[in-house]
Amino acid sequence: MPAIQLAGGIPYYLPRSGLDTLVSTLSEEGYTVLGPRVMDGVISFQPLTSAADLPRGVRDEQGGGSYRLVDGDPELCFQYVVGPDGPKRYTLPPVLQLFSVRPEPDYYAMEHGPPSPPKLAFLGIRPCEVAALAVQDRVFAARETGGFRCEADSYYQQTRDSALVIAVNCTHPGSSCFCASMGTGPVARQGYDVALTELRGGFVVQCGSPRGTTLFERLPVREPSSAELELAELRLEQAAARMGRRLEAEGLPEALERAVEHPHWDEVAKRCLGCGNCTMVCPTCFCSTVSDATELTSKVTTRTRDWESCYTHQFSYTTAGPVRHSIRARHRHWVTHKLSGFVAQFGTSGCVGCGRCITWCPAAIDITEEAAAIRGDAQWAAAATAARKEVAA
Amino acid sequence: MANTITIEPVTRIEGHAKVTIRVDDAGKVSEARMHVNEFRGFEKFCEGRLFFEMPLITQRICGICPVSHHLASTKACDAIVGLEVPRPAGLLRELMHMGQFIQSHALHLFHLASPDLLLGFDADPAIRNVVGVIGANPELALKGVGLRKYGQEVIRKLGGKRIHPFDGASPTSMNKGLSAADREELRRGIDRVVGDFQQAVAVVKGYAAQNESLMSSFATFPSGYMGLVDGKGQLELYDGRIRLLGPDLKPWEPDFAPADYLKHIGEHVEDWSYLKFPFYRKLGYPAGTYRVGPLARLNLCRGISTPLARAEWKQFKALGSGGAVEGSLFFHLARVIEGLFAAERARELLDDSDITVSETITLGPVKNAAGVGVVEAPRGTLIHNYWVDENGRLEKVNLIVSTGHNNWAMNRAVNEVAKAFVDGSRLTEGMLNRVEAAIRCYDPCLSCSTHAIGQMPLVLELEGPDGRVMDRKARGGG
Amino acid sequence: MPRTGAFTADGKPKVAVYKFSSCDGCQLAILNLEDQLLDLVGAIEVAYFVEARRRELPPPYAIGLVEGSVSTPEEEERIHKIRRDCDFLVTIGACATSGGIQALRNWADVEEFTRYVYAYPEYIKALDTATPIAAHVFVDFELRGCPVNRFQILELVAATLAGRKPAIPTYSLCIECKRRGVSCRLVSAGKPCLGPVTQAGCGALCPAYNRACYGCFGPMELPNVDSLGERFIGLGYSPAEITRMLRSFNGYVEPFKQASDRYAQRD
Repeated sequence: MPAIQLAGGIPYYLPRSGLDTLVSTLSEEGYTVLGPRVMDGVISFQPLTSAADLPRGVRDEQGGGSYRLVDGDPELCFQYVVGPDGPKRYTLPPVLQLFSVRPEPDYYAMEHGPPSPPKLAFLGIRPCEVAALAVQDRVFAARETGGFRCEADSYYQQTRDSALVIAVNCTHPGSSCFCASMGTGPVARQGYDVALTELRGGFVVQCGSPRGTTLFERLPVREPSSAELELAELRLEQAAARMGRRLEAEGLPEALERAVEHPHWDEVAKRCLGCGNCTMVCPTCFCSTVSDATELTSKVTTRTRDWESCYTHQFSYTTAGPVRHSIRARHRHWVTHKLSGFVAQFGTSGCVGCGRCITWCPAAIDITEEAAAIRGDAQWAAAATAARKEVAA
Repeated sequence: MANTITIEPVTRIEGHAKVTIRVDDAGKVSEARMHVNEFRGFEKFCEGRLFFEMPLITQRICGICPVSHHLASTKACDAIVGLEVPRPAGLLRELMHMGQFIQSHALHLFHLASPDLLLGFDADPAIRNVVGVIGANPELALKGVGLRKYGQEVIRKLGGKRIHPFDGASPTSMNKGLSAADREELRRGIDRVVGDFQQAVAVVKGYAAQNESLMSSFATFPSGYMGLVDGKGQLELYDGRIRLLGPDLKPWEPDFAPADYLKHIGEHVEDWSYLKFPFYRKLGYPAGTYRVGPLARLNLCRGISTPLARAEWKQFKALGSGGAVEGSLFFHLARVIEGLFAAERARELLDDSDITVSETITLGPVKNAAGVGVVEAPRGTLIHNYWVDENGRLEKVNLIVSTGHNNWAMNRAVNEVAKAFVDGSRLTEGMLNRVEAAIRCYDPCLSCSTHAIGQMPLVLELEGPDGRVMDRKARGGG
Repeated sequence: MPRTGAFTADGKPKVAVYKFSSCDGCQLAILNLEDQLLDLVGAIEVAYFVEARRRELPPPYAIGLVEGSVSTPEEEERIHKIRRDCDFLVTIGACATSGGIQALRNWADVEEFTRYVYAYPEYIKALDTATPIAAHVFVDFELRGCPVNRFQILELVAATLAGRKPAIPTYSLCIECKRRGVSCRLVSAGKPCLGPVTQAGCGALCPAYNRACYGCFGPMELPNVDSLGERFIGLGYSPAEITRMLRSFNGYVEPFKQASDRYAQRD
């Protein structure tokens, strides 16, 4: 019996030929189907018109600051890791016009109201991305915090309410990956409508919601053989063992909290470009900036929300200047918030182990190495605590 | 007392220029000169760079016709690596070039020349500008904006941006082809562009008919003519052989390959201008001076391949009664006929099924130690010539720009006009305007011509026989 | 404080556009605002713009837009008068902001230049260097790019009219690339892309056309050029090649200049 077991209710088997039916059925039901497809040398997350758009026969090779597409098994469509984009591009669009108003003599008239998102189907997202959606839910859904009630982000909420999540379990982790150590993969455990595991002839299907079950019961599925089930579990077990990296999360939030003046930050700051790529590709980074633009003559004003990054000058700008004025401060802030601040703020780590920040960092900075350097430096941590106590005394 | 009049800057040309007019003791004009003075130094600072950087660097010579420099440079690079340009890439480049002609000729006619043509040389300067044109003929002005926008959009779709684009379908910068959707969008707009140029031709023809004596007398003089022609001797803007004819339209030289330009063209230098004076070597300077650009091209070609422009060209040729059309103001008519040709040619290119074929061209090793690239820029023949070492490092760069070829002609035109209209005792606005208008016929691009030199505002200086500046009319800028 | 004469009687700001040594492309970018041009001309008073019109209004001007670098003694003098004439002086484009492509000659012997190109070099009155406007007078605001993004000019004017700070980002090009969903030239194609040290503002034009950024918007805030240079060396580029990449349209602006000088020494 493999160590990894598929979760969920009664499994189905969808032969490979059923993929096209899946995409066309989704389209017929009014979904905009989003999935992986090759664009300009990467597997991007884009609208699909048919299963033919999927990256069949293509694999990616990832490493620190490096990503290449290479030939893979000609049959498989999901043998890549993750691309630079995921559902975040659609739940939290990079540029979103919130509304525009036109000035009238004694009031403002609404020109365009808040946008309403299309009904989306996320096809082929990875367990780490399913986990990232759960983290985003904590950030953007309505919640109580510190005695205050936060309203939900309405665009996000509408997207999530209508979105159908068809995950594909990960059988091809990359060298940047560490979801196994974060407990978010390679098998999706919750938060999906359907989870697929790809074999050469087709897919083992697990439905995680009534919506998923209803959908797949209409497709040409059959019962999987025990050999198919066993093979799927074996593939996933092998995947878990092939993780390129590992992040030891135990005790990390506390270690980072204590490490504000750790000399390691100076070392990383020499390499960090401050470009913000890590925050753009991170599936849980949620920062945005809101700006108003007014037309010269008509005076119609449009409010827009854009992705923003804690690596920019304007992000922490106040009247006195930016709060974090150096690359060192900005980088430390990002890592500390992601791995420590998130826990206090949202009750979960902000990292799901997808490895994107490692792959897409032009300077190949590795969050797992940094965390290990700081966490493992017990001597420094002890000395720092002692020094702090001394100051306090 | 003898004076020199300086006009500076000459407005509504691309860049700035300066004219000095020397008058004798009797107050009569003895000589007028157009000066160019700005220093950028492209030919020298490019030395040591790699040849394949040149299409991007040299387009910075000029923000008005970056595509011309880009393509001439790209062709010089092709020659260095010995590239046979695949047909689809050639079509894409030519389409981008037509976009450039459409926008550049539209810009000149509607923004720069139309105030003179529509409002007259003596109109109040407060209204004698593009804003005044909008008032006098809003429909025409809007067409001008639309044509320019279309041309720019062709460039943007192929090259990413309107100014300093980077495609050119070359081994040095081939990046993206034309998508089917973009092609359709351009096709939808092209008939209107053709129609608008037809109307523009009618407007300029109308002006010419109403002002017959001015047209035939204003800055009219004989010269040689140079430009590219296709295999049939027809008008060619992107790629062909160089034709060089005398004032009687008889060949000075059989049509020659662009790579042989140095055998036939020399450059004369005057100590009062930074801009050199090219001439036909066998005849020497100034006997071998010639003109380039729309007027030259329509004079020297044996026809035009597209039907609407061909019909207009036939009428144009008739104006010369078998000989050359010599009046500088006819540049304006020639320019809109060329605009019509560029629009028709763009339509042909967009209809060609190869235009959306996408293929990758890779940059090969250096095969030839030198490369020449020649195109017809909107203002005339543009020559780029590079010499490289075996690693592709530039050892020498030679650039002859369109405005440079016309340097002698512009000076001649200024002389003609100054002698006819300038009375040495007084500087009038209308006289300044006429001198400017003579220069403007040639649509000089002073950014191009000062690629080697610096700023060139047109100052009008009144100078005595002894060369002392007696009076000066400088309008800002200087 | 703007002077009262810098506005027309009906309260429109008087705007002047100047050209120094340059290619005209940035001024032309203003004319390229076709759809917004009439709005713009309606909102301001074009008081001085040689390329577009003959008429000129006397200074002072509320806004002065300067294109081009200072390359001749005459230009060196003229910029001081312009500074006095304009309340808010803005450089538009790489030449005015960093010296432009012609600043490449700052690393060479100009006399040799002029001897090479001209028969009468003694007649050429060029300075030894081509320098940015800010090397001569105080500049209130910079718009980057070769050429400028015409919508940034529009934003600058609109913001000035509204009395707010122009929304001109200073962060890296990467942020624009990622927002736009353009695949990374450096990470996924191994191309030497200057995006991680270059200021955003173009809209990620080159990467969207599968080209590496060549830095025409100049250095971003806090550019870590050395770290990127090390990455390029890892990709197999030589110090000489890195020097060449840095010395282009913004080669003479400090962070790029200093880094290029360091790589030139390593060559």
